[in-house]
Amino acid sequence: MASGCAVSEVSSWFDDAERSIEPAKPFLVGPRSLSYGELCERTRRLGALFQELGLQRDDRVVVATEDDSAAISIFLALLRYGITAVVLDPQAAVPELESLIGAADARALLADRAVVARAGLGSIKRADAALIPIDGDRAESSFLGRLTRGLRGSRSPERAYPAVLDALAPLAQRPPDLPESTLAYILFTSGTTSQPKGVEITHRNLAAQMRTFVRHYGLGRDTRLLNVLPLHHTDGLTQGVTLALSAAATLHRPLRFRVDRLPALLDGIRAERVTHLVTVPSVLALIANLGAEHDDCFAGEEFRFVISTAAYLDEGLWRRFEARFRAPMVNVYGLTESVCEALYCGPDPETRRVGTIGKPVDCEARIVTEAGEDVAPGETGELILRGDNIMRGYFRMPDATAAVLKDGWFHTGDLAATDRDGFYRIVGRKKSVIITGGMNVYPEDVTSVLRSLPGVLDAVTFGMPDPAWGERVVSCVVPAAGRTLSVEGIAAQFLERASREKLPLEIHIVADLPRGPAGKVILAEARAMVEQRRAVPAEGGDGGIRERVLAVAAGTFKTDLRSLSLESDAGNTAGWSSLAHVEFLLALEVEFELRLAPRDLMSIVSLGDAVRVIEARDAGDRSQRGAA
Amino acid sequence: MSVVSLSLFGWMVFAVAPYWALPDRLRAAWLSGVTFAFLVVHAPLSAAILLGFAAATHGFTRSDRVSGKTAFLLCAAIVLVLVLYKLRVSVRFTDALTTLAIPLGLSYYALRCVHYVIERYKGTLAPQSAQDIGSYLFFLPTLLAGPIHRYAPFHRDAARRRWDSRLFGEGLERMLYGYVKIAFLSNYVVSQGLSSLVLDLQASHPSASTYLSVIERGLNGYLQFSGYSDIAIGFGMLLGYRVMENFNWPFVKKNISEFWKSWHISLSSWCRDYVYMVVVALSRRPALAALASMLAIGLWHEISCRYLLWGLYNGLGIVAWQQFQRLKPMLPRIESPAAALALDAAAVLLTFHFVILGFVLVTEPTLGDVLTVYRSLFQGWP
Repeated sequence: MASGCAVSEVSSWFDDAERSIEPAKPFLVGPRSLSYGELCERTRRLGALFQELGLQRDDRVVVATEDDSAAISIFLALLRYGITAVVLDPQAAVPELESLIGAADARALLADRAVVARAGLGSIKRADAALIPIDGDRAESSFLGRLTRGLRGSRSPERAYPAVLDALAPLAQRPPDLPESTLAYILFTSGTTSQPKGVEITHRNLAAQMRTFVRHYGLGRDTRLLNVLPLHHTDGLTQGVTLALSAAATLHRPLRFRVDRLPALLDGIRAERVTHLVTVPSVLALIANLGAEHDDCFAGEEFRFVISTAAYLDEGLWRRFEARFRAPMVNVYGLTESVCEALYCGPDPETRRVGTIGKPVDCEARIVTEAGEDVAPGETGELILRGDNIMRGYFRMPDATAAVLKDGWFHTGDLAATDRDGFYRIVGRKKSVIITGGMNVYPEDVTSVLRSLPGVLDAVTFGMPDPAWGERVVSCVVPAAGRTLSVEGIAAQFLERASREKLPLEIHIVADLPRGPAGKVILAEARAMVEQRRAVPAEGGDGGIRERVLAVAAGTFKTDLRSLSLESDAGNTAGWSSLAHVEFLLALEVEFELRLAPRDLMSIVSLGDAVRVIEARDAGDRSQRGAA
Repeated sequence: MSVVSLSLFGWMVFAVAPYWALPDRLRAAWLSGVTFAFLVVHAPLSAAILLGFAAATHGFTRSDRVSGKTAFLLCAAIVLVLVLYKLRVSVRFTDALTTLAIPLGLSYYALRCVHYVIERYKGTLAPQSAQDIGSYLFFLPTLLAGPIHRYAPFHRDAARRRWDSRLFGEGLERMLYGYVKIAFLSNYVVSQGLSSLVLDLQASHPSASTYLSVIERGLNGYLQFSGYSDIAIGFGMLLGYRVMENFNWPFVKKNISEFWKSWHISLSSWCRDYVYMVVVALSRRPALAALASMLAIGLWHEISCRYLLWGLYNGLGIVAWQQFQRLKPMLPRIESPAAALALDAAAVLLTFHFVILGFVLVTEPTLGDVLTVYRSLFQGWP
């Protein structure tokens, strides 16, 4: 291990960017792109701003913006000048922002104007902290935006980013070398509880992780990395932004991810000659469900592999994905506390075994008992990690740090086992975190928000397996006496208090929760209760529509029910001729006792369309009955 | 303007050469500009009509949800323009129009506009920008002779477009196939080789001569039109687009329904989606919908009695096939592979002959000539 006064390697990334990379080379490709030249110039201007604000090494600065270009420029400038970045979710609910900003105790805040207004940042920040609203870089890219910059500046009495940089000359001097113990950033892994945990990552941690990534993935100047994961998560921030910089590569963030934008995202892989896609298993599941027109989305000769991160990757999905798209998959395991990743399954054959998380790379891993003794191969224990990529600790939480960092070993809380050849496999979890779509959600956070809602007496939250999301957040809510709750009402109120990623995918309103003698909710019974409610659809509910549509299709097209899915259409289903199509539509009308409107009939080209149309009709009928 | 002409070849070179040298964001605009210039030079009236269609298609479908009334009126207006030109309506103030042939490409771009409007009505397409609609409609490769490609895959290709030497090479090869089909196979082998055989046999074996002449016309129709499609598809590839296929070995299909899924695919699938499904949605009667679709296909070629008959002939063929499908489960199952193969061969021959006998309806100038051909075919054998 290097000594504490060693020099940070991070500065060399910027030195390389300024000295040996063509300034016009794209660093960020997105709605507002940045070349390496622009990035370097921007970070030096921001350096001048930090100097003016009197920010020192290890001071903390909060960044909360929807604008990727702004977030990335500011984050990298903070990194370059040795100031600690605290990147927050700009869409976080106000109580969450209050809690995190309070915990960060920052000297400065740079946040979207909308966030400043919504959360009242002026009043919740530290009294001596500077507050700089972000207007967004996008306007600057347009001619009109540049033309009216002066006017907009005169409208805003306070200084705002990026206009604030205009008056500042880029710092001419290269920043002095930083010690590798400099704190690079703090990422909070929980939000709404009273004591949010901030993971402290030093320059040394970050540099170690980047060295591993670049070498193990074989990245270089020709790399074009597609990663649209959120920047307030390590998978977006480090396995995207800092990775691109350290590899002198190009980062593609063409759009903010939404399910309906997935086809456009995949189209960009070919058009932009992307070499690596970094994403989470839930997105891979969505890709695997897309139509055959996307079969060739990874077929470009330059595409190397998909990196699946942040959550459990189902082995079936893994095999299906690789077989269909002929794109190799690298499954990685890590936590915010290990910067990002620690174990790698692929791309090299030595670490690759499908269904596992591979082997540790550039760090040590052990599986131990409660007593800290190593278990034998095949036996289950807690996975613990040691290496230069392991965090310094939790910000201002020595007890929490001591609980997980023992003798340099980080206790992950994940239960794992190895096979005879030393491949690691995750088999469970000691802690209660739910990993849904690659996001960590703490059930206590969700329950605490649910309990705070008016009309709610009690609540409990837990994770349940989900083929698309890995796990889904499920909550059971007990209404207060005399109060009637609706799932929609709970969801709407929840979103006023917490971010969307914490919103349970399933909310069950129940009369009571199963409790043990000590009054603690028995989760196994609560899960069984949910399973039972799923099996028996509510009266008038939409349960079984999918199954009934598939059964009608199997009967009409004279095909095996098991071969049908919501993606089945005339192109991939034997027996689906234009005549059979009409018979299918007529059979649907008989089965569901309805008459479909011409628009609906013409819209149905796949079984998924049929389910959607009938569900919409069903929902419409129910709301009409409700109104009556 | 012929698809096989030096002039069009010049326009192709003019469109492609600077296309890849331009930044990606300007390529669609360049191609639309070249297409518009091509129309202005060769068919100014068509340029004006297409511009009007594009403006109306964009203007009336901008809202999030397009009403049935708007969609109907817009489609009716577009189809009316097409029908008026097909009928060569002579009204005083449109006298000028009668002196002109149908505007270049109108039959194809009118159907593209209707497709876009109906998809917007169905809600399968979100509102698109004027630039995107313009680049879809002003697309030189498919302007003259189709295929009637669809908006969504076109737009997706635009998003995926990049310089791809493999695709470019494939495009050149495909265009070469097209030229070979038209110039060598159709114009030389079939038109000259088979024609001379037809002439030689005319005196001694009149029925065989007529039969070969009917086959010659069927083959020529296929080679010419699929050759045009090859050139259009290859030209599209040169620009980074994979335009939908228009033919898929139509003469080796086992029934008339399969034939129409593999002959002029872009038109037949258009009629399936926007005639067949509309009639089904309104009437719930597949037989009526099949007849309406085939009549639409016939009249799209030309509004005349002979094409009406041809559409009816094919429509009745499909209805008969539909009825046969209902009876099929009651027929004894063929277990022997040899018998199944023989049956398949017979089905292919039956379908082939049904189709080429249908072509007689539209290749002979009068109904009397049609009857003469049929009489010769069925009565003149020794």
